[in-house]
Amino acid sequence: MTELTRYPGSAGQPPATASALVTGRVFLLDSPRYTARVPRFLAADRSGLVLSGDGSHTKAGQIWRQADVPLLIDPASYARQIATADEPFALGNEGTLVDIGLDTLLTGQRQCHAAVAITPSRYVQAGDSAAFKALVRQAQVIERDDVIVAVPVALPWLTQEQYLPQLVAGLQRIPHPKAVMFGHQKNQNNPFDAAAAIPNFRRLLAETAGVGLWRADLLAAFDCLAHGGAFAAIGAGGSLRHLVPPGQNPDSRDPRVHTPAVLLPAMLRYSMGGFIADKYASATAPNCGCVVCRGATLNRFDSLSGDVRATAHAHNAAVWTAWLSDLFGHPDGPARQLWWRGMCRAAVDAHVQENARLRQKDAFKPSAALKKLASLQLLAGQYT
Amino acid sequence: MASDTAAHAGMLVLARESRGMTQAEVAEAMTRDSADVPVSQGYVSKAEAGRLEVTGPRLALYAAALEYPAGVLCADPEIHGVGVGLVHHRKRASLGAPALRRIHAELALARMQAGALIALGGVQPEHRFRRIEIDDFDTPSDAAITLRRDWHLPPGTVHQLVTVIEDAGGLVLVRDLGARELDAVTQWMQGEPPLFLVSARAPADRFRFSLAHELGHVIMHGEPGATAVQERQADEFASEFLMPADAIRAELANGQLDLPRLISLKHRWGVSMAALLRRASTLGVITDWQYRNLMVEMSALGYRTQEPGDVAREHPRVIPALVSRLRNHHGYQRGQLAEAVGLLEDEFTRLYLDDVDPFTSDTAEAAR
Repeated sequence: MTELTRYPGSAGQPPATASALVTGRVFLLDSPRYTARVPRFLAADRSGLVLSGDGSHTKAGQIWRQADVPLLIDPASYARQIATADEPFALGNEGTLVDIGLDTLLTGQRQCHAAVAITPSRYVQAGDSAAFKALVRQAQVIERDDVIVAVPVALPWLTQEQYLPQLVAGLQRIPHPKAVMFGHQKNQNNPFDAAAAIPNFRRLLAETAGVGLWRADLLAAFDCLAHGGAFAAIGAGGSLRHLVPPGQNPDSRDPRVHTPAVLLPAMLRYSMGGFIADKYASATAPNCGCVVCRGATLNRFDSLSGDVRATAHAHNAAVWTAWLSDLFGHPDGPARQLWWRGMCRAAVDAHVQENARLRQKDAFKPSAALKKLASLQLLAGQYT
Repeated sequence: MASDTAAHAGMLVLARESRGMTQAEVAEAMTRDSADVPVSQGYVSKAEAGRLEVTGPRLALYAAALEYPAGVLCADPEIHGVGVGLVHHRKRASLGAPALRRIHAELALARMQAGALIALGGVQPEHRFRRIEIDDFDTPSDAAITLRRDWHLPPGTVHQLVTVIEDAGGLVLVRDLGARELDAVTQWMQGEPPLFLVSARAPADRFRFSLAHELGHVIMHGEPGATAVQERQADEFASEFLMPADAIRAELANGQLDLPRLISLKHRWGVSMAALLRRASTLGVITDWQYRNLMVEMSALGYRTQEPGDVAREHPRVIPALVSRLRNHHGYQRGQLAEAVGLLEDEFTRLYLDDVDPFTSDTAEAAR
């Protein structure tokens, strides 16, 4: 039998549980298609790499020896299959009737050198209480302690008062780390732009333990960690920073259509490489000091080439990785929240300053989520 | 109905409130009917407080003012189970307290009337209602799913909600509740079938949703609770009961959800366009933006006050069938039945014989 990988924790000791391994980490979540190697800039004690989707097992087998950060495999069944009361997990080889069994699937990830395993949870549609409860109940009886339970639910579970208490109650019942993610239709913007999303997610975090945000963008992930979240995973590309329900393929999944999304650090925003190039066509583009850019300007991603896309993704991750020491350097609680709100306020201001510098009114508009994060009160109960 | 010779104070209050009258109005009516003796509001107040006895000619005068037989005023509300216990109602905030008291009293008396008819018919009231506990994890939607399963309802639409409730042993009465702000009231007393009193003024689609909402109260709310929370839970129950997520999701998501499609779905599901739109939003089938746009469009067309598209109106059958059987098979005369239920003959005729569904027959009752 293949020896199971026990990734050293920050104290140099083997982690006893999935909870010990993931708590206090922000993972980079990437497709095996774009992952040639484990990025060296990932912080060993604060980060990790998640391979998501088809080919992850094979890729993990190829790169695990390079990894000095935890390596995880996310089956991402939620991207393809809808949960039902009978089948909250994807337990068969898709297209066949063979039921592999949850424990076997989880062990399979570990045998491919995943530091801990992630459940093959299916996507729970809004209001499908029976499917959600089935997922919770089957997660409750998982006896192994090296498992993260993926909880992929439609956005109304978070934003609608009708569903949120059940979501919280379900998460409270699962005795494992919970990777929650919120699916939304392809013609919607960032799910955290919805008015109730951020206050409700903070409420969820306050009422549950061991919850992390999965397939998030920088804003949502850092806000999660600033408000009691245990961990987060930020997608490398746009399609991995959000969850589109099965059957609603987003246009952005086809990399031939869009230039890559590039993180503009000062404004805490992602913009398309082509959009950035346009805005700085007659002005100096900002430089970036991350370990990938090393001072290069950020208008260099106006391309559909795979290499440029990979570099953009690496830049994005390198930027937020460099901020993790600041994030976790502030004690969990008001100090960290204050630091994070300050970052968001500075980012809103940076939009104004950059527009003034470019002499283009509204060249960059802060997102609804960013404006909300910059303005919400710090203390629990004063968010609304 | 059994009666003693003196009025019961509690019943005087209930009877007056059921008529929506003040004590002063009762006194005025009694004075008008009395040839020479003026009756003061203080007299009515003392009578209702049990501080003086109402008998003989005064009792007849009192009964005439309230338009009830004298005997009904002598009934003990406790003995006859008329007391107003936990009552659920689907109303708008604008409904005032006096109107609510009137409707609660009407409900109590309706229960008494229905009980009397059932007793005359020798029917053993059996039912299949049970309380289903809910909490944050086991939701009102779950309760609706459980009840549908308990009652062996087929998946999809509920074609005849009144029949479903009556088949389960519930009693449904349709009355003009005299207020547009209230759609239905419900009460379930121990040892009895639940009674649903539904406004005849409500449009057919709203009638169905209100009835399902009240069903939710009956099933989930055995104790008084925070009104806003219980109302929201009852709405959630009604949505799932009438529009099961697993059946309606695909229909709402199938193609463009616009006004013509909502009208078509309204016919099929027997609920309002507004309810369908809300369902589509809560099920995440449409975006917030689409929801707002369609609501604005419906408002602009006046659909928020009057929607297009008809839904078949439902009628209770069990009580009318029982009355029919008592008259046709047991030989009771109209006046006898009126006396038995504690109503004057005209009112009995209006409430129990007029507007009776032509399809009502003994078969509906026999089916129980």
